[in-house]
Amino acid sequence: MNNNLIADPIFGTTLTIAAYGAALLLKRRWSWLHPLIAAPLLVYVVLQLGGISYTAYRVGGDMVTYFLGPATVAMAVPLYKHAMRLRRLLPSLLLGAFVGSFLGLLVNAGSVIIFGGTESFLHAALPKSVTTAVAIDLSRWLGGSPELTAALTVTTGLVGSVAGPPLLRLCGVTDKIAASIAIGAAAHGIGSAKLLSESEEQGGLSGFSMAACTVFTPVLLLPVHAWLL
Amino acid sequence: MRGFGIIMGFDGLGWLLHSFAGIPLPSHVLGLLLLAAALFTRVVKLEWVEESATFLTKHMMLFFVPLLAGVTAFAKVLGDSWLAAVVSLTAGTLVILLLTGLATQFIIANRRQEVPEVEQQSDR
Repeated sequence: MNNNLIADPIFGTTLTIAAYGAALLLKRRWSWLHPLIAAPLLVYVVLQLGGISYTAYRVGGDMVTYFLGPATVAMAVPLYKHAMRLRRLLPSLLLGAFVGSFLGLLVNAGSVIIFGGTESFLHAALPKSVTTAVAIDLSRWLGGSPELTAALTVTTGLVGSVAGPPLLRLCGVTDKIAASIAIGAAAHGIGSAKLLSESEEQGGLSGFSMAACTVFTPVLLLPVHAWLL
Repeated sequence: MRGFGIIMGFDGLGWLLHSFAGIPLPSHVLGLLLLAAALFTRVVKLEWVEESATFLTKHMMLFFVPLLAGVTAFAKVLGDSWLAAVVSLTAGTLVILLLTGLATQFIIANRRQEVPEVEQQSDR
């Protein structure tokens, strides 16, 4: 391939958007194929076939990733909308999401330390239960690898969205509200999207929980960050 | 476009507070907190930002794609910690889910006893 073309940011941006569009089309055909697996895989295949390095692709890829910033800020809107709708139950829901944020950090740290993860892996894995955009921001802040955090966070969401609802039912969490808060706190947007496809109420509650965790988790991480520096 | 401008403005404000005022939180998270505060205090009206915010959050997946495509470049870090990765992704995630669910169920049940009318709210 022409090297000038690859060095232009338009290569990375176009490839990313095309892969995302293709992944959305593939999902219509095979609903189990999550776009967050298909799209990166398509990009990876094109890079391998063309013998293009990730660094060269990053010139354009970074321009797409840039929008994670505004998208993170935009999360304030669903947080506000859900909070207004759920006013009466808000204290209980906030407390539930707070417990979820705290447990998320505790369990993520504990399981990595106990099972021999390296320090750089710990920094990338610590925020993996919050929504991906925030997890990436937090990982950078802690000195972790944003790429690794993105992959860990998406996998966490997929695991939680598949195993979460049956596990909660099996273990006696019969309250639909409590189950939705748990899924939002442990499996962020991917888990919430799954709930949303079944019930708007549960999806909304789960989305609220996810958004509330984006506020609690960074605050809870403050002492960790201070200790790391 | 106004909504997009406001969101970018809050993103920039978060960046200023992080980089120059030295507030120890990631800059985009600061932007999120500030915009949420502005919405709750009605400094910013929901209608101004709703459309742009919905567009950004709806297509958020697109913005992760370059990072996910690059994860193989970091395979070594993952390889060194593969056991921790497997355990924290599966058992860890499920433990967080279950404990949060049980705790929230307990919290809601307690609150219902104190404020019985909360029950009627739950069908919303």
